[in-house]
Amino acid sequence: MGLKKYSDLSTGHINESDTALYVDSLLKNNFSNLPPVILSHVEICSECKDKILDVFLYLRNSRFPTKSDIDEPLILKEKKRAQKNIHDPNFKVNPNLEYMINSQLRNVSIQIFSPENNSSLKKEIEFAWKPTPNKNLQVKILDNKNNVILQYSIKKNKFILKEKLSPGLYYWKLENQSDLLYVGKFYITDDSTSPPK
Amino acid sequence: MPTESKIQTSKKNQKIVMEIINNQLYPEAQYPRIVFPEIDSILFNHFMKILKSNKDFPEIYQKCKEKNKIKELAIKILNFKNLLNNYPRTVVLIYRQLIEKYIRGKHTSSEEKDDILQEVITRLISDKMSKIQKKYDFNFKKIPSFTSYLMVTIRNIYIDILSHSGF
Repeated sequence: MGLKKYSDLSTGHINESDTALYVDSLLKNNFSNLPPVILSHVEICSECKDKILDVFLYLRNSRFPTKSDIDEPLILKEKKRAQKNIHDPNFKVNPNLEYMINSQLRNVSIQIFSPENNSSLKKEIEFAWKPTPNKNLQVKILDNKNNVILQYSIKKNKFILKEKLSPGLYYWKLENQSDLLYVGKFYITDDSTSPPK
Repeated sequence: MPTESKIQTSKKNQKIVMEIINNQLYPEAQYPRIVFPEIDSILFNHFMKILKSNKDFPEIYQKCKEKNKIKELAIKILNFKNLLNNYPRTVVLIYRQLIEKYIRGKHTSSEEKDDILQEVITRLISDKMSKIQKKYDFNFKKIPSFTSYLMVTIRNIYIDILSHSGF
C-alpha cells in the first residue's frame, strides 16, 4: 500500500503527508516541492493553516531555540494580517488569483522588481520590472473580487500608480498583447489597518 | 575473560559504529542532538541488542578488524528504514522526548500531561506505528521528513484524545 500522491481535497483538508511536506517547506523556506493546489488550499483553509503552523512553530523552536534571524515566513505574516483584518471582506484572498500566483512560481517569464508580493503599501505604488523586448504592456489592478478597477498601457519598464486605493487586498497583472506575464498581490493599508511590526 | 586485543578491537569497532551513527545515518543536520539528546546511546544499545540476538554477529564484531565489514553491519542494523519497518519501538524511543515536550507545552496541569503523554505513546505503539509503516513510502519522490510526518500524526492523536476524553 503506497502513499496517495496528493491530498484528497474532497474531504475538505490536506492529508498528513502533505501537511508534513508544507511544514518541511516552511522549515527550509523553500516551497518548490509543494503542488500549487496544496498552496492554494492552505491559503484559504484556516484549519489546515493552524495545523501546519502548530507543528512548524514547535519544530522550529525545538530545532533552533536561539535563532532569531530567520525571516518570518510569509504564511505567518498572512496569518497575522488575516487575524487583524478577519472581519474585513476587502482583505479576503481570492482563491483563483492566489492559484495563478502560486502556479507561476516556477514559470515567471519576467523579473519583477516591485512591488514585492504581499507587501503593505500606503502611498504611491511603483511597478517596475526588468526591461523586456515587449514594448506595449498593460498593467491591470484588480480588487480581491477579481474585478479590474484600473488599467494602464505602459511603454517603459516602470510605472507609478498615483491613484489612491482604499485599504484592502489588491492583485495586479502585467500583460502583453497576447500573454499574461505576471500576477502579483499587495495590500493597501492605512494607520488603522497596518500589520503588526 | 576477553583478551586485551579483543577488548581493543571492540572499542575500535564501537568507535566505527558511533561514527556511522553520527556522520552517515543520523547526522546532526537531520537529527540535531539538542532535539534528540539520547539518540546515540539509544541506537548503540539497539545495535548491541541485535548483535547479541544473532549468533553470527558477535563474532564479526569482536574479532573483525576490517572497518568496512563493521560499517556494513552497523548500516544494515541501524538504517532508519530497517528500524521503522522492524523495530518501531526503537523509533518511538528516539522520538519520545520530542513528543513529550510537545505534550508538556500544551498542558499546564502536570497530572493531565502525564496521562495524555501515556495515552499518545500507547496509541502510537499499539496502532499508529503500523499504519505509519504502511503509509510512509521511502520510494515516493516527494516524501516529507519523518520528523515532520510523525509530529503531524502526534498532533492528530493529541487532538483526538482531547475531543474524546474530556481532558
